[in-house]
Formats: sequence, C-alpha cells, structure tokens
Amino acid sequence: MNEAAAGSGTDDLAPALAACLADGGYADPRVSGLRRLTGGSTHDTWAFDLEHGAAGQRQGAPLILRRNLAMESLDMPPAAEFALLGWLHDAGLPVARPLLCDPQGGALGNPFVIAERIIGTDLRKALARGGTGRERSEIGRELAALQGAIHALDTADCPRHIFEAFDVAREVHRWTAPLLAGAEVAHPVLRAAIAWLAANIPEVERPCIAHGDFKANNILWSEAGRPVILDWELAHIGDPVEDLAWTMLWTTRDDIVCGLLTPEDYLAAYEQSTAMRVDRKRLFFWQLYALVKLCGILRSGSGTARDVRDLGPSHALLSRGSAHLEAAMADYLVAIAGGIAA
Amino acid sequence: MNPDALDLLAMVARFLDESLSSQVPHALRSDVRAAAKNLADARAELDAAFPLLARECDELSAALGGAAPDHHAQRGLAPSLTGLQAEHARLLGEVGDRVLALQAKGEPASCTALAEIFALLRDQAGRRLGWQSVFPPDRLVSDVLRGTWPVNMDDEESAGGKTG
Repeated sequence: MNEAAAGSGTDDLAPALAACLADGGYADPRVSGLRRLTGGSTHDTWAFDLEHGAAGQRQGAPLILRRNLAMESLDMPPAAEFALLGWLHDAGLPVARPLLCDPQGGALGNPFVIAERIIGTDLRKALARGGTGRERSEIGRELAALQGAIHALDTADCPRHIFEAFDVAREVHRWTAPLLAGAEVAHPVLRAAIAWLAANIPEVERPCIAHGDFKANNILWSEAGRPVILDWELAHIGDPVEDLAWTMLWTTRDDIVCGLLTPEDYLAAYEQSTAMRVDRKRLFFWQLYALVKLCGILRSGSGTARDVRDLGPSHALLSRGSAHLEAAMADYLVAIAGGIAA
Repeated sequence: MNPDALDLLAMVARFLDESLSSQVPHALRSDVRAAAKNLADARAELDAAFPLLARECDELSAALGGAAPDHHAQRGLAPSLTGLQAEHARLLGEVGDRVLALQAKGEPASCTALAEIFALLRDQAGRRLGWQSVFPPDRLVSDVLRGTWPVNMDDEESAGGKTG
C-alpha cells in the first residue's frame, strides 16, 4: 500500500480523486461530501458527490469509490470487478454501473473502482428498522428469483479474463488450505471438515456465475423500492448450489433466510423460479463448505498481523465467531458419521 | 468498593461503549464498539474458563482412550489459566490426529467413535457461544438448516431429479 498517496483521510483523498476523474475524462471535476463508509485491512469504500462539466452545463452524480488495500487479498481484483459489473449492467441485472477503474492505483495509491452510487438502504438495515413496506415473503421470493437469474446468465458470454476456469477441487483447496497452513494446529472439527470436503468433491453439471456473497447486507433497497445487488468481489464461476448454501449461512430475522423466508421456502422459491431441483446432497456439502470458508474469511481479516495481539478490535471480534462455526461444523460431522438422518 | 478483575473489564467495556464511542471520529467508532464487545466477551470467558477448561481436558483425555490424564498433575504444579489453555490445545491437537486417522479408516466402528468425538467437540464449542458477539448465542446455523439436509448421502432420492 502506498501510504503517501493512499489517503487515509478526506483531506488528501479528495484532490487525488478529482485528479483521477479529470484523467478519466470528467471536465473540471469537483469532489464533495467525501466520507468513508467501510474500512478494513483489505479494502475500503468511500461515498462522494461529483460535479463536472463545462460552465453552464454542470452536472452532478452520487458516486462510490472502492479501493483494494491488500495485494494478497482473496477478493476479485478491481479490473475484473469493473469488467464484471459492466457486463452485468449491460445484461440488465440490477447492479451499480461502473464508471472508472485503475488496476494499478496511480494517484490513489491502490487499485480502485468508481461506480455510480444508488441511494437507498441495505436490506439488512431496512429489515432491522421494521421492513421495506412490502410483504417479507414477497421480497424473499423476488430475491430467490434474482439469485436464479444470476445463475441463469450464460458464462460463455462473460468476458474471459474475469474468472478462472471452473474447478471445484481447486476452489475448495483455495479456501481451505490457508486454514491448515498456520503455525497453530487447527481445531479438530475444522481439520475433519476439510478432510471430508476434499474427499467428497461434487460433480457440477452446469457451472454458473455465483455472486459469492448474496445476503441481505449486500443488497441495497433503493428509494424506488427495488433491490440492487452490491459487493461482487467474491463472485466466481461456481456451483449454483454453492451460492445458495452461502446465502443460507445468514439466518437471523434480518437476513434473507429466516428473515424473509424459511430455509425450505427459500429453496422452494428458487426451484420454482428456475424450474431446477436443488440437489440436497450437494447442498449439504456446500453448507459445510460455507462454514469452513467463513471461518477462513473471519480469520483472513487479520490481514498482515503476525501476532494475535496485533489484531484490531473489529478483527479480533470477528475471529472469535469461530466457536459458533466449529460447533455448527461438528453438527454436520456428527450427521456424516451417523449416515445423516435429518 | 474494590472492583475485581471482572468488574474492571465490565467497567472499561461500558466506558468505551457508552461514553467514548460517541466522542471519537466516525471512522473509529465501530472499532471502539468492537473493543467494548471484546472486553465483554473476555469477561464472560474469564468468568467461566478455569473450571471449564479443566473439565474439558478430562473429557478430551477420556476421548483419547481414558489414559490417566497427566494434566491433573500439571494443573497441580502450575494452576494457571495459560497452563490449562496450553494443555487444552495440546489435547485438541491429539484428538484432531485421532479423528483424521478414524476418518481414513472409514469403518462402521470408526463412524461410531467419530460420532461420539464430534458430539463432544460440538458440546465444547457450544459452551463458547456466549464468549463471542458475531453470531446469536442461543442457536446454531446447523440447527436452522437441519430440515434441508438429505436423509441419506447414498440415497438417490436425496439428489432429487433434474438439478441446479
């Protein structure tokens, strides 16, 4: 990370951002209202308003800046995210239109994407505050259909350079290997779950574009009352059932599953909208995989910290969620050892 | 009044959350609140950890074959929390080795032994749900999703026809 140019505060970031926008073809850009929305060791997100154009023809737009701060992040590189968002937008999916990308970082010090900012509230917050004004189950069915629509996109049409070729075993290894690589011996249920996953890689007949993090707080509920899908940095070519299993990992009353529809009803809504039956054996595999993957994500938040005492408070908080994941993984392993009888 | 260690943790957590978090710049606010939650989680763990770790070391030793647990003697020599944590971690490592060996065998008897060990590990992890603030402390995602599981991994019906 280029500390000098990265801009940890708004004072140095705003002029650097204006310079980038000028280089990107925006005439006489003025940046205002710059504020950080999220931040971490791997990426940060900023909201700002842009005014640009010749005198007498000035126009404004609410925009968003997303920077990758860690080069070794498991997230999608900004150039690929930019190409993917453009393709999805052109395909008619409800996503924020991307406007500018610098894969090297240049004046902002880190690779970044600038996209339009859609005004609204993330669905999780909206549900926590009492809802969107629409029937919860109706929204749940709409989101199941939307997830099915993503999975129905033809991967052959997707720009080739965005994704690696599909390989379930490699994808599983990519997320599980780091959990076994640390100096600390992994918890027995984690070791057992990873061993079982590696020995039971499923066959996938029709790989699809998986969002990778399709959950309520990555869905913006626009002021127009429509869902907009955000945060595509974990998107990949995968198994549609894998994507469903990840969505089903989040089950509070403010989440899609359990907040809008029961797990069974969400599956039924997905099956109805796609006319495809969800393979329950594959779903079981991917549910266990999702627990392991989330464990890896919670721990990867430690970023460059070499010692547990170097963790920031938020990362330490997240890492401690491992106890819940280990207990849930143990439930799956008990079921496997018993031949499964749900 | 003379606050003990647990009181101090509760007091600092409350100070961070109620007095300090609203006074710091927006970018730091979530970290301050996380720090307060971390202290509350630490308080819950410290309140329960000593007898719990001792009990769990006994359970893990029994799962490894019931050999006379050396950690009783070790505990007598060094009755510290860090000593118990190290012993607990060592036993977990041994249990992990045992589990992988049983998984590799794949025999019916191995499955029974594995089911017992996993049930024990589930109980032990479950006792820590109140020591974290990421997930609800009162239910596991596995409990919620159990109704979507297949009846039998060898049962073709569980796959269910044309699949997505």
